[in-house]
Amino acid sequence: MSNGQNGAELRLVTPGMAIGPLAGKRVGSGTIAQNDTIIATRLGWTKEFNNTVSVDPINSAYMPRSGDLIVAVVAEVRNNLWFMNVNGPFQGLLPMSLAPWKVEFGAARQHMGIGDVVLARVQEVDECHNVVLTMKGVGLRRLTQGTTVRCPNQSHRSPSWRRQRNRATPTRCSRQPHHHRRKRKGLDRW
Amino acid sequence: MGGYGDVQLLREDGLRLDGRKLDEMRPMTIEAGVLPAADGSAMVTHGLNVAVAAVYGPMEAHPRKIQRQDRAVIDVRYNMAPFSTSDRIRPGFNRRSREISKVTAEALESVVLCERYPRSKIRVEIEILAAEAGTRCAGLTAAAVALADAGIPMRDLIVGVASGKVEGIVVLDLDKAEDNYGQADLPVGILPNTGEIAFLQMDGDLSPDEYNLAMEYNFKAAAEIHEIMVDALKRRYEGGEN
Repeated sequence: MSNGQNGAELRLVTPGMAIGPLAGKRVGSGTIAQNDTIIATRLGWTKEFNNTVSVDPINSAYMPRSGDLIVAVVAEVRNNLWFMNVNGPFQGLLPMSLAPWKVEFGAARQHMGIGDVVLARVQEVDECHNVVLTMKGVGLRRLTQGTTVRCPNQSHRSPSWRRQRNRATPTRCSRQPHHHRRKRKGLDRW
Repeated sequence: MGGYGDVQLLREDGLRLDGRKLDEMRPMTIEAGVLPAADGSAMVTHGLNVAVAAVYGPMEAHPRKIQRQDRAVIDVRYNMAPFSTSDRIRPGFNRRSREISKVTAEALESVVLCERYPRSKIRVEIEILAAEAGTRCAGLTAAAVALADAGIPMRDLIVGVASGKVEGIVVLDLDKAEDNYGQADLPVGILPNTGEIAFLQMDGDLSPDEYNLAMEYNFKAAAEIHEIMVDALKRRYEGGEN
């Protein structure tokens, strides 16, 4: 099938629902294996790609991953860092060393205050969910115009749907599924 | 719960006072996503019970002393609204609501994959708007649907259901009169797909045979309620592919 879908078609599943027999398949995100059966752990759409079965949740908390491009809002300012609201369970930390400006100790407030919005990238996430952000990179900047909107999770959409949406609307969002990103980087081994 | 010999709870035709059969459940409806501000929510009406559950999180656990480095904590607050019964309930926590909050949290911890969210907290608020016996089961069912609606990873849904004994006969899903004047009450939390029991309380006495029959009724009802739960979750997102 096209768009990385092979085998099972998109199907809405609820937690605990059996998706199908394990039969040599690998369990991806949103699924667990129990007694040779793949069980959904989230409410969402099933997906099968590269012999891996996963569930794309309809509604879930954002869990940052290294490399994600995100819109973050300044929540707190300290002398040498900013705490950013990344719309996840934990705040992200933007140290002044990873800001795009030369920031003197104690002068962080002069560059960004509470409520300012930035385009940043997730630099690092450790096992305790400490999130470090960076603004060093092409296009990463403080956002001074435009409107941020909350939209439902569209990760189960096909890339063609996303391309069509980008053509039809002024959005610049281009979220790609994790496997596409990895493949583009040449990291297609799981 | 010794029973009241002079209170008739079964009719001469073998049916119960409200016309139900011994193994018949009160009508139940579930709606998911009733509170737009919550990350996940659900409303359960079960007979005359109305329970609303809201889920917030996962979020950073505060105060930090409640954080667990390897898993999330589930913070459940069960509360009965002052207007939920004919006798006004004094607002605030009481012994009963603390107990139900605790046992509900422990039941939910057995299905939620807490290890996915270390140091965080999942807040579950259960509000009973109308009570007619069986509110802890309605609250548990509502909480499970709300957790699924919030996208919290769970290894199964959990269904709250109760059986009991009136006039020496085991019946499913006690109503108010049966709860007040019956001889036993057996609320359980069942994982419908695996058949595991995550929560069990018993008030009163049941013989082993009565217990087995009550559990048989509970499992049968859990399968019915599970279908309603799944239907509610699917209904919320029907046409979700468009």
